[in-house]
Amino acid sequence: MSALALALCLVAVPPPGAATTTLTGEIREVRAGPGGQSHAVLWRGADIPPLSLRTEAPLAPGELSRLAGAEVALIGRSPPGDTWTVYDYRILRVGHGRRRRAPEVGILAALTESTGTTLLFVRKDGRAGRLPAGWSRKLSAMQGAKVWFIGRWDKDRFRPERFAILAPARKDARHESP
Amino acid sequence: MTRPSHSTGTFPIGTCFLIASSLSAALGCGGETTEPPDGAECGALAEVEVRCDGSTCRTETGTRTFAEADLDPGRYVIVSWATSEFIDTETPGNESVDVQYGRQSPGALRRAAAARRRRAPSRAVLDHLSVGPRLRAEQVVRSWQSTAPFVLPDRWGRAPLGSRFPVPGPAWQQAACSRAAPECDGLAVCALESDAPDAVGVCESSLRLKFRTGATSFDEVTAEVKWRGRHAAIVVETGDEVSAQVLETLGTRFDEHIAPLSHALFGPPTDASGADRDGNGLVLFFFSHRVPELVDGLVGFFQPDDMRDPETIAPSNGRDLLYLAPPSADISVDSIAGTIAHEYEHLQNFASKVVRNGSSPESVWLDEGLATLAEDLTGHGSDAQENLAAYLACHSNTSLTGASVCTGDEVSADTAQRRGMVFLFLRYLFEQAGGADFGTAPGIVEDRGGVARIRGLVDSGDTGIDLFSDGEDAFHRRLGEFLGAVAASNADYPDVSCHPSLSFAAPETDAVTGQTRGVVLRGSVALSGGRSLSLSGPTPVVDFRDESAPLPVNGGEVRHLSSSQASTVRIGGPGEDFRISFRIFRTGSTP
Repeated sequence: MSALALALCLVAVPPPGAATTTLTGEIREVRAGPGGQSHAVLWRGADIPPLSLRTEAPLAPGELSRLAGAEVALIGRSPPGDTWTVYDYRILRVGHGRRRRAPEVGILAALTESTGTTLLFVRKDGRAGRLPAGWSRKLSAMQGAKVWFIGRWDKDRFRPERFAILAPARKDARHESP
Repeated sequence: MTRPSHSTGTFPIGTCFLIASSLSAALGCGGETTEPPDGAECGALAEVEVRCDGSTCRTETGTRTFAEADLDPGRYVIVSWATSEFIDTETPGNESVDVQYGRQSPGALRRAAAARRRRAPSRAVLDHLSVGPRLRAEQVVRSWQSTAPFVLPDRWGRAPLGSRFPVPGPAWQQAACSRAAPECDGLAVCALESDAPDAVGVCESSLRLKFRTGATSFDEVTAEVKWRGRHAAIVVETGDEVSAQVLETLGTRFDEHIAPLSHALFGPPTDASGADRDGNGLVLFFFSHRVPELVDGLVGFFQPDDMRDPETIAPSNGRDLLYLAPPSADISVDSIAGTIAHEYEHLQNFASKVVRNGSSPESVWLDEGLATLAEDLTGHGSDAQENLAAYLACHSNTSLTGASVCTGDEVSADTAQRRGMVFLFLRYLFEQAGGADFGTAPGIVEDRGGVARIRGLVDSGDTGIDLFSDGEDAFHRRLGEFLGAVAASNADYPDVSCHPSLSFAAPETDAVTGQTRGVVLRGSVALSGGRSLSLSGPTPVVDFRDESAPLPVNGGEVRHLSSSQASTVRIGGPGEDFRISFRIFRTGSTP
């Protein structure tokens, strides 16, 4: 149940009365100085000026930059000025290579049993799968982090192929096992 | 610090080194011995033949076996790594890929022996790192930067319009200076009226400067010239106090030590004609109490927008300028000097990539790594050592180019772990190219190949991974060579750690600063302020076993294997987009 509650926490809610629209394109990280990968923009083709993006809670600062290279559908609105405010998003395709695929978004949660602690991938809709032992060990500090995975489900297990952290764990979303 | 003469340090993946326990000296690739740094004989490299690589191994239901090797009974250290050719500057590769380790043998691992070799984690508690404020501040500085393409300002090479006080007086003198003779009497800097070769100007003893408070906002402040040397002038915000002794110490150290070394390593902070941004031939160090107020504990920063035209970007100072915090109980003179070395590299790098080459700014990961290398090579390596400790303590989850997966609270990909890894990677390239001899007098460096190697990275119009992709699999191969050294250097593995391509040269003490230059991955190094840091190599190192585990793209990890029976090991992963390899070194017989 706590895993489902955590997953639901990931859903952003635009402010009441805000008119939102959805834009699709590729996230790119724009640099403006030596190493200045200063922020994320939405790239919609060479003929359209890139759109500067900012996030609003519950999206984390830097979350969109972590998606550099991904094709996304952004839900947000444009306040006066050049910056677009993003409330939520869907990842359409990730992977820098030949086969770009849609990942599954969720969080990492820990399941403590008498045999030890296993890390779970909890999808947005609440479906949870145990990660392999090697993944559990290496990602043990990442409990609560928002992540995307490409992989396959095998009953109550999830076999990952590719993965990335989208946002660190939210402090208000941490749950201890009973 | 010069490397002993040795082979190029490259190795053909999967093509050499069949080492059986009884034949190790005879069948090593090349079969020759090498002279290690301490003069003791080093046998042929005890590297195991990798039977196939990505192009020849099997593919099964989407999972590809990238490499296989047969092992005799014994103890081994195994380095695995993954790269992607599809990563570039806009898509930095913040992901990890599933790597499948496989091992087939009739027996089980001798886990007890492996456990004995486990080392305590390297000492790196991020909350205690002095580099934290710099990381946070540079994120702030970047977030304020203009994203517009850089246009070389018309007024490059002369003082910015509108910055002068309206009337002559204490602030500026009627005394003339010129581009040909920019020297001013006393504590003043030359402000040229034009960018012409025969431009004349006036000598300013007070400056009006901007201190940025946001993306478009800034405060105007006044600052007095308090010290002037050959390469730098120090200005202090009116009302702030910096003692004459500190000014002399910092100014002299920069003029005589940091600047000559930095110019040799990273090039001049000028345009193609040799003119600096404001034409006075001096970089300005602007001390202000506002710096540590920006981010608690911040010592200094470079704002590249200051190189832009103030008429286009209002907060720009139109000067080559570093912002610095005045010394305090928490900010030592050594810390300020090290920060100057770090931030000056950012200024030099911007001048090369953007101003002289008309290229993109350098990728964050590489620019920060070069700036960290600047700290080390100029003898201010305390922060570099702490970054290195952070990397070693999280080596298996750190990517050279993308985000690390270490503490769980990283917001930016620019972390201490990544800076430490990139610094060590560049230090490896520097040493493998021959390194350099740093004299006992200030500012002296005699290149043995390492300076030219680093200078080439900065002088090139290429940026990021492109700088290391000069040939098929070049970046992948270089990463594997580097990770071999991470695994073996200072580890006392017979016929492995002594090999020059797998070891870092012994550190030395900088004659001017008394700080450590160079790295030791297992041992203790002295830091500034009488502190020391103890490193235990890459940690945690786990056993090589049948399992699936994440590996950061453009990163790698070290594992141990101890077996009393012959076995076959393999490494696999997704059969697309990635190149995955391992190297295996025999480290001894089974106990």
